[in-house]
Amino acid sequence: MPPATLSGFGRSLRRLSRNPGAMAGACVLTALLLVAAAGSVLAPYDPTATGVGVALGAPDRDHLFGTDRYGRDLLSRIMVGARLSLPIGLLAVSFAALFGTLLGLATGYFGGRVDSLGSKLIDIMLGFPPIMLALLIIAVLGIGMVNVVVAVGIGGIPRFARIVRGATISARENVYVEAARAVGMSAWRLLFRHILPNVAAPIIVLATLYTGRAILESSALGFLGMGVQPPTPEWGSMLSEGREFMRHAWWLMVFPGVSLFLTVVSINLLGDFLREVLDPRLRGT
Amino acid sequence: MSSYIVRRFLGTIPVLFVATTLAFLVLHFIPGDPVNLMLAGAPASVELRENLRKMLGLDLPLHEQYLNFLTRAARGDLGISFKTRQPVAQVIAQQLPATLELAAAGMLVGVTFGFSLGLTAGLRPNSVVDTVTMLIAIIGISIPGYWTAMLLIYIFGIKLGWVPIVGRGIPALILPAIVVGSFAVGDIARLVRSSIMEVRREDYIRTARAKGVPERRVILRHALRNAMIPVVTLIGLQLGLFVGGGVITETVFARQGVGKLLVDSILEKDYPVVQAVILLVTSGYVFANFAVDILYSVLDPRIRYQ
Repeated sequence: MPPATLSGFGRSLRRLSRNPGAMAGACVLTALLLVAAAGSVLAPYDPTATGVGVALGAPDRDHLFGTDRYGRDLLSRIMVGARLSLPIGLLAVSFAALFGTLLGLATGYFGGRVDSLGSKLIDIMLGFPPIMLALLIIAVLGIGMVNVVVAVGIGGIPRFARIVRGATISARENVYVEAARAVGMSAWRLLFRHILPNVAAPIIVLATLYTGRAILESSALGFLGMGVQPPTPEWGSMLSEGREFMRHAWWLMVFPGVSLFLTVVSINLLGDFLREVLDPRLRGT
Repeated sequence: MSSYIVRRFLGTIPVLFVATTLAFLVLHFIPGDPVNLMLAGAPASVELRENLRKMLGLDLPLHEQYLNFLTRAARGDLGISFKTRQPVAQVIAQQLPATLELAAAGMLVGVTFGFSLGLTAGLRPNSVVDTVTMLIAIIGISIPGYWTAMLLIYIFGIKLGWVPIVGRGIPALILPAIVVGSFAVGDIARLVRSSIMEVRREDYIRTARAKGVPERRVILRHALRNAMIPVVTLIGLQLGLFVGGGVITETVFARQGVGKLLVDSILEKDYPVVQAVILLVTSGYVFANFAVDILYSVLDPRIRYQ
């Protein structure tokens, strides 16, 4: 990672401003995070209050995005839904990044038996189709938000582990690592003080790109009825309602979908930009 | 070559072992008693419960149950569905053709479009075609597949009425195939593009041009063949996307298929079916990846010697 000096930060900002896609992504994401943070204050209506408008009312001046079958305001539900859909994705990625990084650091640094065992574990996890792993976990743990985070997160662990393992193996060879070992620094302290900062760039890039996927996957589980349960607004389960009323109320299907798409496309545009800036090795992968 | 195949085949065993073990444990991890689930709340005497328990083999020690599960699975006996009381193998066999049909059609769409887009873009980097392709690629990986499906159903099925949205047969397969394919178009196009751009800089391409090989032949014989190598691997990895795409697409289109069966069985707690589908799909995926690896080593002899 480049040093966090002011000039380094300024340079990054200038590069961001020259990349219109990433710039747009950053703006949309900032707006979304604001909505997610302040959604319940900004929302024009209570998202779970029924009958604030007519049932299945088309978009008009009072209800910009229309209303659902219980007469709930769709705009308010989407705004408050951002509070769930974004954190579920972020939590799933954090879960994957945390355990994947630990596994990658351990296998890459210790080598030997730890590596052969850990690498086998990584291969086995990659051998499963991701959605099967997620559905298997839901089948065992049951339906619910926390279980969705775990189910989506576990699929990401081997991907983080593989990249961190590779980066750790090359960082291990540095002279300062040898020096730290020579003065008797403990292995885990050395890993966190000297190796981790060196493998941070690929982790950040992968985490950004994986966030988009995690949001899509967890919303798909919501859509299949395995995530957040109604009446709590979540974009995936809202789209499942939209599917039921497709013939009569297009807005129920269009607006939650657009929100989801805009979120993920912004994250991916920003992720592509970060990949170019932080980690030239990952380019074109 | 044969030693590579053997080595690669042995590598599939741990995954299959873990998959079977996990599938076996599903029934033992779930909260509650499988016998209760099978009875679905119907009143039953203690005797009947004990009989059911014996019938399911739940009275045996865990390791014996596991061995029984393995031997029965190897013989194609996957238990009885809690819901329909039919043999699970029969339930799955009814759904399998529709899923294979969808996966094949989806793969055809994904590979054809992904490949042509990536090739056009890679041959003319930074042109309009290139920009549009990259835009399609980034949209492809950012759009929720089930939402694409809903939009297509709404526009082409309901508003325009061009294609039927239910039933079997080719016309009803068009939209679902596009959806399943769209999961992969973006990734394939991006990889083909970067692969072509990289190969075009190689010395052997310059040599081919210098000795007067027509451009068309340079692309087809020299560039494309080498650019194919990473693409074949990717398609192998994408099989997982086709599987996942199947689960979601079948649900949105309310189509028959193994994916919809799995989703329904999880929601209805029909665990013998869940076990069997997980086992089947994971083994299918593992063997398909095995086949891709073999193909990979045929395309690129360097792989075999590593």
